[in-house]
Formats: sequence, C-alpha cells, structure tokens
Amino acid sequence: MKDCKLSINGRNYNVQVEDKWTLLYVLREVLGLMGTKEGCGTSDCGACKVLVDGKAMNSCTLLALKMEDKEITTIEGLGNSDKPHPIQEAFVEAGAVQCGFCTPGMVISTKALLDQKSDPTEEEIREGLSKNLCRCTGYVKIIDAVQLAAKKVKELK
Amino acid sequence: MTVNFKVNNKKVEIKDLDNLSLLKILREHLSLKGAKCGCKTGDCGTCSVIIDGELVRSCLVLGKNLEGKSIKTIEYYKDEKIRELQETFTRSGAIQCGFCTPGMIMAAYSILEKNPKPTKKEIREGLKYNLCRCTGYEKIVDAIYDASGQVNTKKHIIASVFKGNIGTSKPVQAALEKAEGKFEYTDDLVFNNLYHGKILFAPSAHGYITKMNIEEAKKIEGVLDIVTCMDQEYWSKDFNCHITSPFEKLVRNEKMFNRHFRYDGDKIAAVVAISEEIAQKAVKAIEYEFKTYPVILDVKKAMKDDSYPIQKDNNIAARNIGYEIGNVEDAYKDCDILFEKEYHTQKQSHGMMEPHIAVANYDGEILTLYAPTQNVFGFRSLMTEIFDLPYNKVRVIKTNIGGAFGAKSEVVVEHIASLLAIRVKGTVKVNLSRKEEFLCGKTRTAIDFNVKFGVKNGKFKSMGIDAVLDRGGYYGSTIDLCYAWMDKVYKLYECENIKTNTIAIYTNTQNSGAVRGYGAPQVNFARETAINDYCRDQGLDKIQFRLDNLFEQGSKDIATKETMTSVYVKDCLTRAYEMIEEKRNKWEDENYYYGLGVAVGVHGNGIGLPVADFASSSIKYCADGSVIVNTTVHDMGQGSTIMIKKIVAEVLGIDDDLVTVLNPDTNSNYYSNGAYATRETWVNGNSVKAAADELIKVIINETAEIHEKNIEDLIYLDGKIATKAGDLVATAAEVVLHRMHKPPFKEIEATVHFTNPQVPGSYMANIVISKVDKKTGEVKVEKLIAVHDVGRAINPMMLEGQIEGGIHMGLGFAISEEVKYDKKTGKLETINFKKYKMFRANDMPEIHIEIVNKPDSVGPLGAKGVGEAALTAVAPAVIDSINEAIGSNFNKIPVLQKDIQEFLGL
Ligand code: FES
Ligand code: FES
Ligand code: FES
Ligand code: FES
Repeated sequence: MKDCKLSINGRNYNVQVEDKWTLLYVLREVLGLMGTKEGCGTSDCGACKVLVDGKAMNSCTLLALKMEDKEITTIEGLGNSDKPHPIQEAFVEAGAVQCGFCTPGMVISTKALLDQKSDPTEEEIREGLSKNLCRCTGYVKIIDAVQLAAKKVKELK
Repeated sequence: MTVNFKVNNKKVEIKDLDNLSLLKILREHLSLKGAKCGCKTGDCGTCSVIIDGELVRSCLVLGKNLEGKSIKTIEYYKDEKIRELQETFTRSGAIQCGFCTPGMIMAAYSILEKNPKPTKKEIREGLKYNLCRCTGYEKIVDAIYDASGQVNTKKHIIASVFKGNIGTSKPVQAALEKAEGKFEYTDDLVFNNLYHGKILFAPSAHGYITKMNIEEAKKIEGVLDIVTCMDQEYWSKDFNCHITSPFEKLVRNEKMFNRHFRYDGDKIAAVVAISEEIAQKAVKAIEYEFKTYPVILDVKKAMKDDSYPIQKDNNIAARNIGYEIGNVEDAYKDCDILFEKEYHTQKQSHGMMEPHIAVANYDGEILTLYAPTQNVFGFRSLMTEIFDLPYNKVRVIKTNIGGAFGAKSEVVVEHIASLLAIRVKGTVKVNLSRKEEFLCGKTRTAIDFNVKFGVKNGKFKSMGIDAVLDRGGYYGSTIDLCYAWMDKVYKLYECENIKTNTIAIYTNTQNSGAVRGYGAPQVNFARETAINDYCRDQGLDKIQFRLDNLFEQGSKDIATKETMTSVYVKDCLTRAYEMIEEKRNKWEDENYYYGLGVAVGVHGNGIGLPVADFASSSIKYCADGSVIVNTTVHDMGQGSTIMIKKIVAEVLGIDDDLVTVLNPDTNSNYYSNGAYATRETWVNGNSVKAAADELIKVIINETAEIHEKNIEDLIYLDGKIATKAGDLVATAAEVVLHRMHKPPFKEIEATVHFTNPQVPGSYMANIVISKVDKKTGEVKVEKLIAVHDVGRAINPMMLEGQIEGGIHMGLGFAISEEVKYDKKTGKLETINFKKYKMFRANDMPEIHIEIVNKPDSVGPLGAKGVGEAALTAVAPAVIDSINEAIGSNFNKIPVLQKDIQEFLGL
C-alpha cells in the first residue's frame, strides 16, 4: 500500500492504494463515490468518465497513483438533486435519461465539450460524445439535452 | 504510528489508529462485522474475540496496543473448533436473535481451549462476561457441553434430522449465518453516502429550554444540519410514539424534540453530519439555557391536586378505566374470609443486546426507513402522520433484529433518522449507544396494585384489583396497557364477581412502553403473590387452593361467557408439582434457608376485537412445487419465520425447505398488525393456515378443469392431486406449469384475510426453589420448573428456547432488575449493564421445562403463542420461594439482597 493524495471535487483525500488500483476503483470502493459507473473496465464505453484537469477521461484505465497533483471532478462534484448542474437539468428535461447507467459519463463528456465549445453543432456534439455508449436512448434525446444544456449554460453566463 | 498484527492468520498493518478500539478496527477498517457492539463499555461481551489465546472484549482494547498480536474472530472459518461450535450452537437451538452469538462462540472457544472437558458450572463461569437476553443461556450451555464431546445427561432437544413439520425441531431462520457472524444487523449494512445523526438529550429530568444557540455547532466542518426543540416547524407538532394506525384516537402529547422536557432522556435537538464523531462534537457544541421545574418521580405525589403538572392540566393520563362483572361489593358481604393487600412492580428495561438503530433515506420523493422494527405498518402510519406524506411515499423495511421484546414496536429513533434524512435529502443513520438506549428507551410500566378478594367455602367469590400505572412523561400506549393488564384478570380463576380499575399517572421518568408481557407479569405478580400470602396466612395448601379455583377445560371466559378453546392450567400445576422432588415449603441447613415458591399465570393470544386484529396472507405455488408466502411476521429470533414455514408445509404436505416467507416490507407485504401481543403464531399462523387450505381448493379446481374431472372426485395430498380412487392425476407443480404456459395464463395462488376470532389464554405453572444465604442475605434461585399449556408444540426446541429466555427476564424482574433514578434530581442511574443487572449465565438456576402438548381447537394446527407467557409466572414464584424461606412478606419487586439483609437484620 502506498500513500496517495487525491484532489477530488475540490476536496483533498489521503488514501492508501495498491500500485494497480485504478482511479475508478478508488472512487467507488475506497471513497464510496458511486456516481461513476463501470460499464466495461477496458476503456470502451465511457460510463466511467471523470474530468481530469478539465478533460473527460475514462477512470477505469487511469492508475490512481498517477492522479496525484491533478484536479479530478466526478458527477458528484457537478451537482446533486438539490442543486443540479444545468447539464443535469437539461438531461432530465429533455428525456435523455432512461436506465441512467450511461448518464453520469454522458454528463461529464458534455461538460468537457461545452467547456471547449459553448455552442457546438450537432455534428460536434455527436463527435464529442462518440466515446460514450448508450444502449437505451438511441442518442437522439441526448443530443437534444446537450443542445438544451448549451443554452442553459449560456443563459447563466 | 503503524501497528502490525494478525487477524485470522492474515497480516494487517494499520496506520494512524488514534485511539480506535479493536472493535472499531475490525468492523470499520477490516469489514469484519461478526463482532457486535452491544455496549462499548465492556459489559456485554457481544464484541468478544481471542487475542493470543485469551478471550477479550474488543471494545476495551486499543488498536495501538496490538503490535505483534494474533487475533482470532468469529470469521475464522478455517479453525475447525470455531466451525464445530457454530454448528453445535445452531443444532442446539442456542441461537435466537443471534446478536450475542459471535461473542458467545468466541467465549465458548476460549472455555474449551483451556479446559476441554468443562463441567456445566465451569461453562457458566466462563460465560459470565457475555450477556444474552433471548435464550436464558440454557441451550448455549448445552451446546458447549455437547461440543466438548461429553454426554449430556439432561434430556434436551436438538434439531431433528428427520423430515416432518409439526413437532419436529428446527433452528430459527438463518441460525448458521448468525453463528458465523454473517447475519447482517442494521449497523452491519453498507449504505453509500451515509450521514450520521446524533441526539442532544435533556439536561435534567424536568424543565424548559429558554434559549438555544446552534451557531457554533453549525460552524463545525462536516455538520450538515441541526434541528431543535426551538424550531416552529412541522416536526414540532404533537404525536404519539405508539400510533399504529391513523384511526387511533390516542392522546398525542409528545414532540420529536421537547422544549418542555419531562425526563432526562427526552430529546431536545439532533445533528446530522458526515461522521458520527463530528455529529457528536456538534451536539456538545450546542449551547442552551433552561429553567427547572419540580421533579416528580412518585405516582402518589404526582396524583395530588397541587402537584406540578407534567402534562397540560394535571398528571392524570387516564382514570376510571375498568369493568365490573357481577357485583363485587355485594359479594364480599357473603364471603367467609376477605383478603386485601398492596403490591408494587418496578420499571424494567428491555435489555435487548442490539440498541435502537435506524437508517432512513429520502430521495426527494420517497422516504425509506430501514429499521429493526416489530411493526412495519405501524411505523409507516406514524411516519405518514409526522411528515405528512402519503402512504405510497413511505416505505418501511424490517432489517434483521438483534432482540426487541417490545422495544422495537414503538418509535424511539426512527422518526429522528427520517427527519434528518428529509432535511439533507440523503441517507442518515441514528445508532444509539447503550447509555443512550437506557436513557431514552421505553420501560415496563411500574404498577401499584391493590388486590382484594373474598373466599367462600374455599372458592373465590369476589375479586377486585385496582392499579395505579406510572406512565412516565407521555401518553404513549397508556390505554392499551390499561386493558392489557385488566384482560388477564378474568381468564384464570373461576370467580363470578370481578372488578378492576385503573388510574394512569404522568411522572418525570421514562415513557413506559411495550415490554414482553405488557401488563401481564405485573398483575400476575400481584395476584399470585396475594394468593400465596393468603394461603400462608390461612395455613392452606397453596397448590390445592389453586387446583380448587383454577379454570379447567370447558371453563368459560368470564367476560365474554364463551367457552375457552383450551385450558390446561391445572395439568400444568399438577405436573410441575410432580416434577419437583422436595415437596415442602421451607427448610434450612447450616448456611441457607430454602423455600419453595409457586405461581400460575395466563397470557393472551392476539389483541382481539374490537381492535382490527387481522393478518392477510397470500400463498403462491411456484412452477417447481415450492411456495412463496406473503404474510407479515417480524422474526426477531423468536422463530416466527420457521413457525410459518412449518404450518404451511404441514398443510400442503411438502418439506418446509420448499417454503419461503417474505421479509416485512410495506411496499410488498400483506398487512398485519405487528409482532406484539403474542399474536404471530395465533393470528398469522391461522392466517397462513387458512390461505394454504384455500390454495388446495384452488389447485383442485384448476386440476379438475385441465383434466376434465369432477372437483368432488379429486383430493390433494402432499403436493399431488389424485382421484379418490387413488389414481395420480397431476402433481401441483405440473398444474402450475400448465397454467403458466398455456391459456388462460395465470398463477396459482390464494389470499385470505384472517381476523382473530377470540383471545384464548396460554397458561403456565412455575415452581421455584431458592436458597437464601444466612450470612449475606444473597438469594440463589436453585431450580425452576416451568410447565406450559401453549397448545400443540410446532417447533419444540425453539418453544423451549422462548420459555428459557422468558424465565431469564422473569428472574431479573423478581430479584435484580430495576430502572432507577436519583431521588432528588430524577437523573437515570441505571445507565449501563454494571448498574442495570441482568442475569448472567452463572446466575441462572437449573431449569426444567415441560409442555402440556394438547391442541387448541382454534389455534393453527392446535398451537397457541408462548412469547410473553414465558415470563408471566416467574416473578411471583421466585418471591414466594423467598417469602417461604425466610418468613418475609415481600410485596414489592425487585427483592434485592439489601432488602433481605434488612429483613434478616444482617
Ligand atoms: S468502464 Fe471505463 S470506459 Fe467502460
Ligand atoms: S440511458 Fe441506458 S445506457 Fe444510456
Ligand atoms: S460491546 Fe464490548 S462488551 Fe459490550
Ligand atoms: S440470542 Fe443471545 S441476545 Fe439474542
């Protein structure tokens, strides 16, 4: 076990980790942050996306020890049902949530996308979400949601 | 600092232990939750483990002292001795709620390590640090004795390896998991993003909070919210912790947090935080000022007109509750002899090994309460009332219970956990420490009785019993308790004229609530002691006098005039007297006075009309011939699940392994009142019996339709349907499969709504031999004979287990247990198991139990309930034995060593 200092959602955590533990494992099993999901464990589905220094990355293939000195944001850091993030609101309002298993990853990818481009085209949205699989929605309402989210975020600014 | 040690032969390295106890390290850092926390102060033994071969209570060991040590816990399945003990405990019925079991097994392990062939006495000595509130230790001692390979000369029941349902013995549901430490109680469950609630209790026994400041407490990092008695919010409205349905018109005069606090366990605020430690820190940081009111502990003082009002106008919770059958006063005039005397009983704690705990989740829409409750539907009603939520938005799920005895039938922390969960919109746990449990848990109602009776020609002619109830600060279940004790007066002795009367009084003590027996142990102590006193005064034979007056088969319920369905109390008494060798009332030797005490008793079965006392049950046949039973029984170690399984299996003629009973959950289960009033065997048992009978009809109908036969020609037997001539038509499984795979697609099930038709008595006789030390005044109950009439025994081993556990509680009621307050301040004194003395394994007498195994004509397959009957006659028999031994006239329990010393002038 090694000491590992992580900065997650603005809080500092000191955890003991094994060399091989992934960030996803530490989030879920050590810190109990269950919002981030595991859909494949092989970096193919995007369910485990978190923001690492603002970039959407698959936490299932990131080693926790390598995450020291980085700023990590998980779905819990964006908002919760009392104070939802506009992207989360948009997903709910647009009907983009069915089973919901892909949703945290989708929301994280959307956040990264909108941080880059505040007014993405549909094509850019599809491109931006291309690393996130969803088996329920056919992505149609997810695209709507991202567009709605873009509007909401802009209004806030 | 890093500490290295071994747990179950695995190396463990732990850093920054601070001052963590080994118990906490095991449970929270290593996720080994087999060791339980029953007190955290070294008094209960539920946390026992072995360190380097020595039995220790892990709550007392600091992690930083563990360097180089080797620890064995209940989870060490590789150790054959532990495995063997787990199996022996299971087979022997040594497990009820199971909360003490892991600790007991570790203690047993240590006993046998040191002494492979211990005597029973040595076993009891070795168990003295481990408390059990369920079993009376009998079967635990037997299990350890068996595990030592010695031949037990006492005839004792072990689980049957034979098939067969009624009358064969089975351990309680999940007994082996309990023995393995795998059975998850509420504190063992894992919840994500769990917050913790802590309660601020009143500063004294009676007063009023004038000011409160929560600002400093709120500033502590990690504190999420604080709710207090100063808030004028929806949670400051009045409620009653006992409400089980919205139709109950009970007086509501307590609040969740009481600014006018009425005992020192009253709650005045609560904090929710990200950890228990932070919540506790914040509780301490709440500042307040208060003024005090006079503290009234004594009912006689509280009753006076000029007494300070604890509740609104005066201290009378209820008065003139009573009934009269015949004409008591007139009848007294016609009697040869009149007898009259006062009797007093005390407040008793439940002492279940698992304190109150609840976890609530609120997701913005639905409140889900996970609690070890005896009454999921009652709790749901109360939550809907308090939080003004509709029924479909409140879900109560019963978690595994570590003992209850009535404690978990009224809310104590469940509403607080729910409120905090709603406030933070998340999941909140409230887990009481043992001290907090003693402070705010309910107690048995202390009752002062005046017993009067008149006898003519050796028979009761007239009897009047008046009672003054000490209800503590709030109304709660006052009215129920009035009727509960009075109901027990007309079901035991023949007597044409009976009168009862009750006054219930508020005092600055804990709220009285439901405790195993619910009024019966109190009135039974008073009446039976009165009869013993009368017989001693008159020089009568106390056995014969009872035999001349007791109910017998064919006797009529004096109140309803209906013939009782079964009454074998005379058989109980006669048999108990046969079983005792010493047939004299008193004798002595050089060191001791000996006395023989007698008592009989009665307890009811269910609540009975006019209360809605019913249970719905539905049974579904699965496509492979197994069945799922939807009925609501709250198993807390008393064995109600296995009881239901056996009844259904017997009616359907299948093995009980093929029967599954749902866990209580208000979202999925059929309605039933809770597990109280000894109603689960009688009401739920009858309900599933009726549903199983109905299911047979359904399946015969379906078979007739499928196979084009006449219904009248078909019979059902052991999972098969045949013609009356004996030709097999189909198995039940085939019929189900047919219906589920061919039109008209449907399931095979039957539902019945069963209402309790009457409340028969469960009867018992207890004979006790005690000895009193001439020099010290110490009492040792040497032998206790208990013969019970509880109808037909469905599961003899666990039936015995119930009686043994009841005896344990009854013995404490007689001579060791009493909730005590400082006379001046009203502060609770009995705040731990050192001060609140429950019998330990080495205090218990030799116990002999027999069942008058005669079926009741209405009971499910002839059975009646036993849970509360178990302790009803214990205390009066014990007190009688003392009074005989030393010639005293104790009329007040508990009789403590100091009372005897005083009497003997020691
Ligand atoms: S779980 Fe990480 S990409 Fe699928
Ligand atoms: S909503 Fe189900 S996978 Fe996307
Ligand atoms: S929890 Fe350790 S002795 Fe009670
Ligand atoms: S079985 Fe021992 S406390 Fe319940």
